[in-house]
Amino acid sequence: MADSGLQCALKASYPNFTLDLSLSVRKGELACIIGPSGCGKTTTLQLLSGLLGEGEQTIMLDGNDISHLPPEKRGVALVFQDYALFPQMTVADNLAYPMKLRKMPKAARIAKTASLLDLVALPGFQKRKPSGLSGGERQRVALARALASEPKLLLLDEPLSALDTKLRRHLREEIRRIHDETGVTMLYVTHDQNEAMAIADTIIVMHQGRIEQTGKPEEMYNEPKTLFTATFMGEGNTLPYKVIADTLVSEGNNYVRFNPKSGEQVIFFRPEQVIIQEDEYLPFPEFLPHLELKEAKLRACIFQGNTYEATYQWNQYKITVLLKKRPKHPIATLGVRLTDVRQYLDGVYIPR
Amino acid sequence: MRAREQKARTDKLGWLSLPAFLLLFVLFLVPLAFTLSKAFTMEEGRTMFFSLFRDSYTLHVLSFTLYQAFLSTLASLAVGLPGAYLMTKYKFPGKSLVRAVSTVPFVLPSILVVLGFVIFYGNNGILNRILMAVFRLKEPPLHILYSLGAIILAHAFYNFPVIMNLVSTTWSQMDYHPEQAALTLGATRGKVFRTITLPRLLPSILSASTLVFLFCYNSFAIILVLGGGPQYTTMETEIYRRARISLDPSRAAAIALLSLLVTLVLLVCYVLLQKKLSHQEPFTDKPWYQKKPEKGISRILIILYCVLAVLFVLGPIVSVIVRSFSASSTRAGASSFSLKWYRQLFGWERGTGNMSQAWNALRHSLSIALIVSLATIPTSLSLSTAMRKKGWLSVLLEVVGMLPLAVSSVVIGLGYYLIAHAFHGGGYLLVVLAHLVIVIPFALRSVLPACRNIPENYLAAAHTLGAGPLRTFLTIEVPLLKNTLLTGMMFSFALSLGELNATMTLGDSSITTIPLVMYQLIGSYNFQGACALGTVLILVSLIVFLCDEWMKGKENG
Repeated sequence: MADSGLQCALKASYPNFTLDLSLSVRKGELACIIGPSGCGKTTTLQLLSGLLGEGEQTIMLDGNDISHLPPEKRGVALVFQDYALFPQMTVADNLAYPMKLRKMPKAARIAKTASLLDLVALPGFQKRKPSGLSGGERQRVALARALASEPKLLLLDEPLSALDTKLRRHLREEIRRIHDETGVTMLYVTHDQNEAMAIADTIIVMHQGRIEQTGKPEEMYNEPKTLFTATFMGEGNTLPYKVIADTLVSEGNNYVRFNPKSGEQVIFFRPEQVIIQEDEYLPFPEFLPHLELKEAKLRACIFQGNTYEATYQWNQYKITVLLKKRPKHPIATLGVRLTDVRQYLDGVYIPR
Repeated sequence: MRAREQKARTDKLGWLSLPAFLLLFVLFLVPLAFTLSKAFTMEEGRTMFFSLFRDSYTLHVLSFTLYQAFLSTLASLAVGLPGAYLMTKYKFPGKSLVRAVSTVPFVLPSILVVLGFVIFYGNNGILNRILMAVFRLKEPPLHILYSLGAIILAHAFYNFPVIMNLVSTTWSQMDYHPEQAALTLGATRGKVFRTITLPRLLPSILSASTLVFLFCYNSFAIILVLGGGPQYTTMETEIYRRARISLDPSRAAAIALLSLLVTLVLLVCYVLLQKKLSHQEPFTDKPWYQKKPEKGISRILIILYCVLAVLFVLGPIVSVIVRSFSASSTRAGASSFSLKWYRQLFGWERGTGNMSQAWNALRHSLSIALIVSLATIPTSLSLSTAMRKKGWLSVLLEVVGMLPLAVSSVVIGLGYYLIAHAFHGGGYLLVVLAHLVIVIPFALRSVLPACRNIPENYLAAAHTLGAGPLRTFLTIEVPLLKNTLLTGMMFSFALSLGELNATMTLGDSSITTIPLVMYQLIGSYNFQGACALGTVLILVSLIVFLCDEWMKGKENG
């Protein structure tokens, strides 16, 4: 169904910042917007919810044009990073607030409040005040309150940023579970790519008010279309293109099909795609063709529990490598399979 | 472990607060004890205090006091709340001017406000003259003075800035996300204001209203002069009249006790209500999204409010200054520019009537204010350092330190009058002591928060670098508090200079101060002379106000 879910085109200008994007979220989908701070993520949510009204917007939600509706008529609920619970009300009153606005009878309100609190795993919290709750509990209440308004679209603005790492991991799974149980269309903003990859059906990478790339989490990590997406979605090594000509090892020289072009051309590969050979007399494991970076000097090695993150210096370049074992020698040869190497011209992927 | 050690080290300075605490104790509690003991004297086989409850006149006075305070609070809310809304929600040119002007009444002595009102709103006042000229009227259209209306108007003048500033401060520090959340949950703007914003503001509105109510309850000069006589008598003016006009000090003391008890009951009700309403507000440093007024109508309303507020505040003050430079040669003659009243004030010309006292009053007032303000520095400093610590002792200290705020200055004056009565004399010394008691809580209110704001790490750092407690106090804390201490001192100076209530209640005819002479001049209809003295008070208030703004500006960068 092309006309259900969210389709929007947003344009807005601010001093030293312009937002210009169009995006769509399928009905029942959980989409994540990620991007560095200041890229316009929060502005996008504020425009969608109607809290900001500048610029030209076309917003279609489940087939209805809501572009010119005030926030209270849009059916778009927003969950804030700082929870925004009504401090003078109990948890039950917070949840009942949107239901009262919809003139829901009291008995139904009480039942729905209880079921929503069950949904967010806070049964029996009706009489508590927001000030007596922990950060994680507040965010669950905020989520339940947003769901109580039965929104057609639920926006979440960095809902977990104020929480500690362990709680964040737990709550993001909870949000995914709540999404699956309610089937509500969600647009989730975060600056944490791990969070996005963990819960999203679709990831939207934003940069300077525009959308860089949209796709499934695996696509975004493995096949980034821009250098920005590539570096934002995870760790990576970027080297100038000329390295390829100097270091390529292949069966004969007939494999080289790279065409140097004008503009800034770079190659990119991820740390886990690098293997090392520490004994210089042993031949490199055969996975031709590959890049061979000889005499890389070990600069640092950090134990991360399941892996070691080693930093090598090769010529003037720094290269990060993920290893199963701690390297023994200060010098090693680094190898990368050519099929793993992606190349970008002025930040844009060039298919081979 | 380290924290405990550090506490022990700073505790060694506890003795520093002892003399100040004793001073406050003696200055405040001894007169209060005199009043209380007097309230329970037996007359005609009945205790004075208990016989009050069967006296319908006293009960009438009490109910009128509460009634006028209630109306005055409503009036202050009506003027102050729209201002708070504008200050929070909008940014517009001239906003800082309105904000600055609105703090002016804070530093004005009440006798000056009274004078300003007589000059500005009087039948022959400036407002009536303007209206008569504009509408070509023969009779003055406004008859505001000497009525309940005048009392309420003057109280609103005095107190609307309290409401405006306290509420707008809370409002602008309030996180606005709950309001936005309510919008996205489907509430209209009006509904959001009624169901979210107003309940969140209610505690701050309530506490500002309580403050205003207490001010109006304890108001003295405004009731005495603008009320225009015995038909508008409140508890405070009744205490004064009983003590000094009917010469019945034990009845005055009994009324003072009743008045105190009512204040206490009000405070307890307030605390209970506040407890019920209170909720923890998640304050943020994000300012409210302030918009420029877009629609024509909101622009017009803002301009109208600002112009009226500035006129309301500055009108009476400016007219006092203008009137002080005029004099008429004959009683009915037209007035012209003259420095006559200033010549009399500074003793270059023999004063007529009450003006003959003016030069002495000026010298006395300035010396009293200087002594009082100098004395507040060591007192407030040592009290604050003791109150800063956590623990029941410092809480007790703070309560005792702030207690004079709950007791009206008329009651304090009465206590000192009873002392003077018992020991046959005391003169200016008692005036100085009474002023000191009245002023200390205000000085404390500015010094104590600053003292609490000094991070304990600063002191710990100084200790680890080898400075002892006393050295740390003198080289680290006192320099950090310098500005606040100066501000506190200037406020004390201004307060003491304008103090009328206690001085009038305790002083005999040998004592003259500027406010006293002003009161007498108003009573004998020499308004221009009173205006000359009033201008001196305005000047001092202006200096205090400017210095305070300057200090604030310096602190903010």
